[in-house]
Amino acid sequence: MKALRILGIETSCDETAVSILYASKTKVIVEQDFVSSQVPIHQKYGGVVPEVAARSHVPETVSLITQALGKKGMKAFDAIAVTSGPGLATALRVGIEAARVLAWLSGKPIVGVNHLEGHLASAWLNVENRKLWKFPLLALIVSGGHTELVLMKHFGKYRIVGQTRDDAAGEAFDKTAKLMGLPYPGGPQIAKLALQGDAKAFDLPRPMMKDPSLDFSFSGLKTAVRIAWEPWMKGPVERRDQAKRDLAASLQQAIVDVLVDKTSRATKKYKVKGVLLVGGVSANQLLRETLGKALVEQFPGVAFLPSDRKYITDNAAMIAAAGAWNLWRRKTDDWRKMDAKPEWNL
Amino acid sequence: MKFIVSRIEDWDVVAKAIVEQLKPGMAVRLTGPLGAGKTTLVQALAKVLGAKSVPRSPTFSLMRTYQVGKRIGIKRLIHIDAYRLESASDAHALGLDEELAEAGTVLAVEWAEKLGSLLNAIPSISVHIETDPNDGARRVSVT
Repeated sequence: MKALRILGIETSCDETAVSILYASKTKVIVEQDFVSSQVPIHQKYGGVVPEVAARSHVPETVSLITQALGKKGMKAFDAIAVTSGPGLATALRVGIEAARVLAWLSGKPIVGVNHLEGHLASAWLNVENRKLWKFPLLALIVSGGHTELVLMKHFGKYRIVGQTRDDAAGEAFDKTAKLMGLPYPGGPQIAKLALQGDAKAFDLPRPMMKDPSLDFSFSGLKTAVRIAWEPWMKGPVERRDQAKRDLAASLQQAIVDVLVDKTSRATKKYKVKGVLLVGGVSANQLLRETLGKALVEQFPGVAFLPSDRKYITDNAAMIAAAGAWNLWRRKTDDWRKMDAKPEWNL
Repeated sequence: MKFIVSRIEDWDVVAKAIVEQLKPGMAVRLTGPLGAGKTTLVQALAKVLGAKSVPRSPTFSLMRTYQVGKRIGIKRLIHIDAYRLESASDAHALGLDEELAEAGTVLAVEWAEKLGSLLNAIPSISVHIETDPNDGARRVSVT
């Protein structure tokens, strides 16, 4: 495990991100970390504006790489890690093309990283987590586009043991928030309202909780929330506000209950030594607390390994970290042959 | 054609009727409010077309591709969700022309109305789904 300084590049979806990570057997340091988030634009439109996103990946990627390399130029890194998939082909190619040019100019090794492996590596950026890192591990990846339970037997050996069959957990937050007339992004809005709501006020379903598989389904919550909310849209304003808080709390509880239940079942089934919690939805305080508590109570000795909040959404430090895992296993790519893999499975 | 969907299996009937008319290079335009069942119908379409995996919502990824094999001439289904797109010009990021240039491709497009005239040049089947306010059944029109 040679010490490496890795340039990480991420452009798979909405964010453009560039990072430089120093990784050795004993130390992992994020030396540079830039994310140019487009959330303000998304908020304005209640969603993402992908053409703007895809187009601005180009100037942003160039600008962030220039900042990250600084005066050292090509001497600032020993290897390159770039997200190759899954994602939108047009967006992925911006990062990949930049990385290929740098690999060609510098003659340094390059590796294409799976975005989901990046999320797994986001938990490894935390020093306390690394101390408790013992395989086999289980990871719950929860974000706007993902809800997956991943069994990690070793670095590079992963198996998806459960996943959503329709909507991702973050999508369930965003879309039900929209039905309740809340602004984008819905997750933080729901969590904020839920603080003053009664989680037992509305009897919402726990989809697939009784199902023996480790899969999820969140699509039905949209209809459940719509039916629950409809009578209140016409009701008096003062009681409507409290109903909205109660519905937010009930919805949050329903999503968290299912996520924690399935994660606990997978923990038991695969006898893992630790559980990672990664992805944007892991910002949800109730989810962090409930899962942490469930593990302590049901599985003493199993480590709870959540990512630091600053690495839960898309970033390039996690891509560089996954790059280190690959490079240490001598996995590299030929820059001449690299292309986007929009449907790359973990 | 009009359908009433009150059980999950009923979507298969709708999907079969759509696939009867579907040819390579065509698009299925899906419209209807949040939670109407657009993704569920695409799952049924994928099943009828012989996809090996079940489509999941492409709202965040915008686009997902499935290899299909049962129907002569149709080799892949591209599932698109325009929910997060603000205007038709945003959709250029999807690279649809390039995707459709590959033989045997069909599109299933959720929130198709957001793509405006972009789909005009593509022969299409339009599917609109509404939820009956009384019994919650889905009323589906295919034209």
